[in-house]
Amino acid sequence: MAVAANEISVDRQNVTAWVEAWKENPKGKTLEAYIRQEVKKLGLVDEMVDTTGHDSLENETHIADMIVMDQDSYIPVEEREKIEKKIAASRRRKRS
Amino acid sequence: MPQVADVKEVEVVTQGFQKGLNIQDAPNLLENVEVRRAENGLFDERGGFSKRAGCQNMGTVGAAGDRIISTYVFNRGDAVAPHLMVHTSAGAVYYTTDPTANPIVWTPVVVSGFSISQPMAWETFNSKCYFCDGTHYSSWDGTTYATYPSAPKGKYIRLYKDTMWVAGVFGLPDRIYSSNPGDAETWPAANWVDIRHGDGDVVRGLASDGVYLIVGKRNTGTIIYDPALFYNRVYDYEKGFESHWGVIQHESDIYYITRRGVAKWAGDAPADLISYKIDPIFDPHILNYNLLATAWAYTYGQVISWCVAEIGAAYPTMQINYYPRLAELTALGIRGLGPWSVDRVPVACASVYRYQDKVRLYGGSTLANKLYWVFADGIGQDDGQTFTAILETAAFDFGAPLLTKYVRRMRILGRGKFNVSIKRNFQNTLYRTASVDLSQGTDMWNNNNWNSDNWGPDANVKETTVNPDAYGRFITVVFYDADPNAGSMTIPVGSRDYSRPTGQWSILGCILDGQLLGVRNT
Repeated sequence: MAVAANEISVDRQNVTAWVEAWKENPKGKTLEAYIRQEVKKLGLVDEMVDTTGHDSLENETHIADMIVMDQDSYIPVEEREKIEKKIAASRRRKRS
Repeated sequence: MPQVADVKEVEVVTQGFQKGLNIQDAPNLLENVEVRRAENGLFDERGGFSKRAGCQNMGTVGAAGDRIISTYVFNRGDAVAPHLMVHTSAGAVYYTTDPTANPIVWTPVVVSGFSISQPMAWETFNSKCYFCDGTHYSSWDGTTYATYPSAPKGKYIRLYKDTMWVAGVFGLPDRIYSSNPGDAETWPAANWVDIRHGDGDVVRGLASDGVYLIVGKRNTGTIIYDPALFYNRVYDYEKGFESHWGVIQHESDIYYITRRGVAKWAGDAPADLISYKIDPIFDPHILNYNLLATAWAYTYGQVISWCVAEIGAAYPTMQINYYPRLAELTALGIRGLGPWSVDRVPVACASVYRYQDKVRLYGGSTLANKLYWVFADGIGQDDGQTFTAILETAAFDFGAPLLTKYVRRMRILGRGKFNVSIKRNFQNTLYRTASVDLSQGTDMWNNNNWNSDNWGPDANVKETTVNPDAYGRFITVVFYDADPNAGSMTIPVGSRDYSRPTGQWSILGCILDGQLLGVRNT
């Protein structure tokens, strides 16, 4: 059952710590993948947010999706894309 | 062709100027109680107009080139004096516990790092002052400064239902964030909502009437009516906020600047535009629309004012004033539209400070690194610069628009020293001018000069006669001055008269009398 967003145990301080850790060591993951991994680690596998008040979302949205949709408020888009481009280039090098 | 007609005595009495400025209607269609120009004065007595008081310099803050771009009064309960807070163009925040000292002693909260152009938005909650500018979200409790790196870095904050709300995060133009209830420092990660997601517009401010959180984009207004699940609906599909700081509450109403003029919040319904009579001001040839985003509202006394920048200006150059108390009441007790005037007070932002027996308006200067006491007692100039107040009446036709009139005399009721000019037939040039001195004489009785001085206090309101010897079909009277001195008005309270500081002069009424002549070319 979905709960109100303010009843979810993850706050922006948690996410900020994840983003900082990802910036230092992305472990070959995009920020989105990193966030999903951290949410899973907390055991919030089925944690759904009641988003009936959101015009652009379904009535229930997974907490990880909510955080991912807001990732640009934690890190400038350019900075995130720069890191993710480096990761992609590194993957390509490994494949070749 | 000129026609001869019987000469007829005629007179016009002004019925007051209580309907204020009207620049919407053609100049020949103004009512006699409306005026074509009203600047640097107050409609402080219904129907009368008084020059405003000036600004006193209270000293500088920070380095010489800095400007104050945001002000706030952080109230701290009964035991502690309120802090006047300012944000400067150096990205610094300062406070003072005594803005009545001159010069004011400022103490830095933060010396740099905040925005140098985006004004700070402020709120007080849990005995702390919270503020943000798009780069930081911080708090100050009077002793300790704290910043919250994980909080959303928005430009606007508003308290609603014991919760702090933030909007204006860079790159997320639709998004509104909410803190934990009762805790403005913890922000649940999923506690956000997009208002009219992807409509291409940008949130320009937040407000609240206590029941709703009002989210203003430039072109629409939306209310959030459920603080937990963010249920929202658009209340106005056509106009929204221009500026977060342009929203103000006054006597249970909320007023704000929109792209179409000044609007009054009408609850969960499209807002009412109330600035019809000054509509022409809201034109990109007159106002610097680019700076409407930082238009700043304040209320002082019974007047609501908005600081706005005129075209070509980098800082606000003008105040638009609204007088809700002077609006007519209908039989059902519904208030109509009040009068408007404009000021040119050199401040960009201002806040009302109240502590003990002092109630003062403090504003950041647009001209220099200075804080002004705005409308300072006994001050007739703006920081040493003489300014002019002007009131220009409607064009009087004496009830006979076709006929030429001979204006023999004018009886003028008012206070202080000013000039009276006549314009005729809608021309710009001043056709006749006279100086009027209605200033109150000093009581000299204590000087022991028996039988040679004023016995008791002189009258505060006086009348005089001017003989303009003027001809014209439409007669406009202009009252103005360039006097550096302040004045006062007498307020009768029972058996006592109180003297209240004001500008140099007031005009309360004017009687023109003369003769109706025939049809002439003038």
